[in-house]
Amino acid sequence: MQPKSWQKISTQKVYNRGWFTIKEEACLLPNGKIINPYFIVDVPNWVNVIVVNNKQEMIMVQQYRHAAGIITIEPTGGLIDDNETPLHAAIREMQEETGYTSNDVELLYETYANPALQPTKAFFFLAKNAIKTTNISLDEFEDVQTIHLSKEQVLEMLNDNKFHHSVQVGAIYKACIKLGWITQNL
Amino acid sequence: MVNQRKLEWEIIEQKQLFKDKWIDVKQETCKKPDGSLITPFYTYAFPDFATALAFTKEGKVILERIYRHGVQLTAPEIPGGCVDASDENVTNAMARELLEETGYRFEEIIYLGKIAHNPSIHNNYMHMFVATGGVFDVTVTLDANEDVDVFTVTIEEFLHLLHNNTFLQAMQVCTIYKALQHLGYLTIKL
Repeated sequence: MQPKSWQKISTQKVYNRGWFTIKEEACLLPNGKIINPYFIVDVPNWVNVIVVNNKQEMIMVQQYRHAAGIITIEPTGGLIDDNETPLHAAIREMQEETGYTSNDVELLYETYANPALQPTKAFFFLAKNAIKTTNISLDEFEDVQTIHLSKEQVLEMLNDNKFHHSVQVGAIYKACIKLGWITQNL
Repeated sequence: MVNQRKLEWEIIEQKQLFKDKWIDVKQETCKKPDGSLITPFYTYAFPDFATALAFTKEGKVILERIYRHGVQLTAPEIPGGCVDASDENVTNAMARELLEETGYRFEEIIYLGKIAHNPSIHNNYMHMFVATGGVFDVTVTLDANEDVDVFTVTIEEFLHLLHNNTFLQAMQVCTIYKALQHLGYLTIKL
């Protein structure tokens, strides 16, 4: 016996403004019960890029995150625009937020930000041998500051739970494993 | 490393858009330190939750298959759940969730710290644990509201699942790596 999918009886957009949508659904559960309302918060898919230069530094952004009311250090990233691939969004966000470009950008993995309640996907990329080529160009709502972290600082922050975005931390671990900064023993 | 320039916003106006058991969305107008306004800004309040990489007494990893309606997919996950107001502390919350969801009781539940869930839209934290020495308690009635299948895998099978990106909950991947590091399966090279 395996868990079965729910059957959607009705779905209705109860809020939509700009990129933010809330849907209210009525669903039939496998045991015959109806769950109503089940809310789904639909925000666009996003990318994060772990940018590494040839000095073994990670280039990240420091910013205020208002929902949690904290200042975080995170990999650069942002929402994927319509008619843009995740890779293009990654390259664009890296250039806009940090001024860096790279000819060596690979997908680390794609995942879901909160699959119980949101369809939103997150794509994580690793950009190696990144070079500062352009000036930072932020949009009117972005107030981010680029920071360079040494390998030691990154590993210390991982160790001390200082990267405050649980959705992204798995990707930082994966990037460190790929870069040989963390080894796997088995 | 960390610059001290003021970055925080001030809330000028706040409106409750939706409020129900599982949803609490507010729309705000905020003022940035330079005086400019951000409107609308959405915050999606969510309870703190706890997740654990949990092992049986025999050293197998306890997983569960679960349907997630937000993405309409069924996939394996590590056990976890929300911290209730009635829980004495987060470790008790973790023990309760482990028991309700999997039916296992653990010799040791080790706290690995907390990380903000998704600070751009949520206000909550995820608490991370390693649970070891799990023994299935046949007398326990599992939470009837949880439609999950519990199963166990060897650590080799588990790492294979991890490397193939089988775990769809990004936050849980964070707990998994923290736990693997704690247990010595990962070594940070300084």
